[in-house]
Amino acid sequence: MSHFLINDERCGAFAAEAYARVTNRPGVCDGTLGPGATNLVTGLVEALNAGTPVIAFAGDTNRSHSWKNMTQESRQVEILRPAVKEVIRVEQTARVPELLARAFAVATSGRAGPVLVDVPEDVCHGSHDFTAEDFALDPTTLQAPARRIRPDRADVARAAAMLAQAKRPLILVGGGIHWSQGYQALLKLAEAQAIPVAHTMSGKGAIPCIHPLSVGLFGRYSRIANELIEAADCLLVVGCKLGEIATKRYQLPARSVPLIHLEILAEEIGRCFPPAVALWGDARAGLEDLADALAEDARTARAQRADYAAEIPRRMAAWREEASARLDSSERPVHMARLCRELNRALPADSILVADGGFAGHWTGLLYDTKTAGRHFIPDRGFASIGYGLPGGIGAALAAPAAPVVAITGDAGFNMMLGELETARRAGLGLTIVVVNNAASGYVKALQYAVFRGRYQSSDLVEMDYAAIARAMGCAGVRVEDPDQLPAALAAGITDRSRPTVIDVIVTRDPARMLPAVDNRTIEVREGDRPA
Amino acid sequence: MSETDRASNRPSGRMNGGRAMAEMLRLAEVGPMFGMGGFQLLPFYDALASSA
Ligand SMILES: Cc1ncc(C[n+]2csc(CCOP(=O)(O)OP(=O)(O)O)c2C)c(N)n1
Repeated sequence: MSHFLINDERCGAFAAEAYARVTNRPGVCDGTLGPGATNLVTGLVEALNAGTPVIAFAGDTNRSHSWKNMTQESRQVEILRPAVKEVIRVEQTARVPELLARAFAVATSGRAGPVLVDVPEDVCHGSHDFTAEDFALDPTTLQAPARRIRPDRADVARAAAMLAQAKRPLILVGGGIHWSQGYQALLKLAEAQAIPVAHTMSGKGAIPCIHPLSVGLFGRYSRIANELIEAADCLLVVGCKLGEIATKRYQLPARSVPLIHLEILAEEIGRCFPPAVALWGDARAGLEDLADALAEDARTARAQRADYAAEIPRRMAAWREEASARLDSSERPVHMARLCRELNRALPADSILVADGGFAGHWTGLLYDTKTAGRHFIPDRGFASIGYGLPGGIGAALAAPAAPVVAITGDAGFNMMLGELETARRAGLGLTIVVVNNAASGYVKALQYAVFRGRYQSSDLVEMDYAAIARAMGCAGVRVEDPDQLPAALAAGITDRSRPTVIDVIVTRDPARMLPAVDNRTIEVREGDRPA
Repeated sequence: MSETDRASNRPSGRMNGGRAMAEMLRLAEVGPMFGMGGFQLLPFYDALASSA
């Protein structure tokens, strides 16, 4: 097995988390006693909120001297406890294998999640006479989901009856579809029953974005999906928490629309929206059961919904027409929509786009099109930390060595992890990093523009040449000031498989034009909500 | 000294906790691991180095 030195443990946790997303196998990372362990917090919370199986190891003090002001000593287990699904403290060398097996079982069972294995120095350094039987592992626990549970049969029948009645049903899919690998089951149900599919940022890739039944992103940002939700008469929500961003701060969907909620974590059901029917179980299993329950009348359902299904590509084409001025923009600095269009053109079907927590994630969440179902778009929407882009790209590139991996990040997010370019270079990763260079903590600046009348405080960055920085670090670096340079720059980055390529894309410095939903100076500011 | 059973691929014998961690992760066929060392986990790092 390979072990990579990282320059900041936050990167290690993020990279392990991204590796797990691509493979559905637990990502692994470690931190030393104290600051090494506490630096893992952010990445572990990402994994906790996103349902990602991760096993993190932390060294702890020698128990012969604990709590006598040992160097780097802290209550690290207490600091990390709420960041993980379970803390496993190893108290005996003899129990190391047994408790590691337990770590895999916890990480991959039910809704997957991160586990902290806390290992005191004397346990790690101490010896024991092991037998081969001590090293038993349950192979089903080595990938998520370890096991699958099907929703109650009577609930499936009620949900199926409700869907059968609906003239304009819509499926809303979140990140759970990836953990469940429910792509085929979803496509089968959607196509057989002529039901369009909308996705959250985490759910992108549930079905191909270019599929005629895909209505794109819903929630905070939307192409046509939010209008379709408003007009829907039944919603099937799959593997989605219906949190703030997916619901535009709980405004969507209307409570009058009957909602079927298929979810692996029972207590998430009804947390934000009361469902008409609750389906507690694995997404793939539940979708298969719904498809079976509705199979007999599929032909009739398709015929009745033919006009509805035909509406989707028409509406999408109309949206595209309306957005074309932005998507095709040749303005300098580069328009974000144009950057997304060029990513759509340059990235082949098997590639992976990792998106950082700033604007980059929202723009690509809205405008990037995956060409096949699967984990081809990875945003860190569990915790939305900035700084995930580069380490997420490292984890994804190691997980899928044959696929082109592009990480898109803001300049502030990139600054946070700049040192990890050394890690990526040392690992020989042919990763492409697109830096959205707006010389600002852009989202914050846009909020200060919209809500605080342009009083900017601590939201500007100094102008930097990230391409030159990359070259100085032994990576390839390209600066893009004109959008027509993008195709060649992206092609070069994707082709160079021996070292990282940084594409420094100069985008607008005008805070009025940074948010994806607006392209003018009329941002809507509503009391009690943040502007989009 | 520890040895490895051919059929099960499982180790046995006397070893430290760090080696036992490395052996379990090897048996679980985990992917790349990311970290930065310190004294406490160095037996684990040492086990990785000697098995590489
Ligand atoms: C660790 C962390 N701190 C603060 C934030 C709040 N935040 C959200 S977006 C943003 C701006 C990030 O700037 P940049 O990475 O340059 O991306 P941009 O928004 O300009 O595209 C900030 C500070 C965050 N998401 N994560």
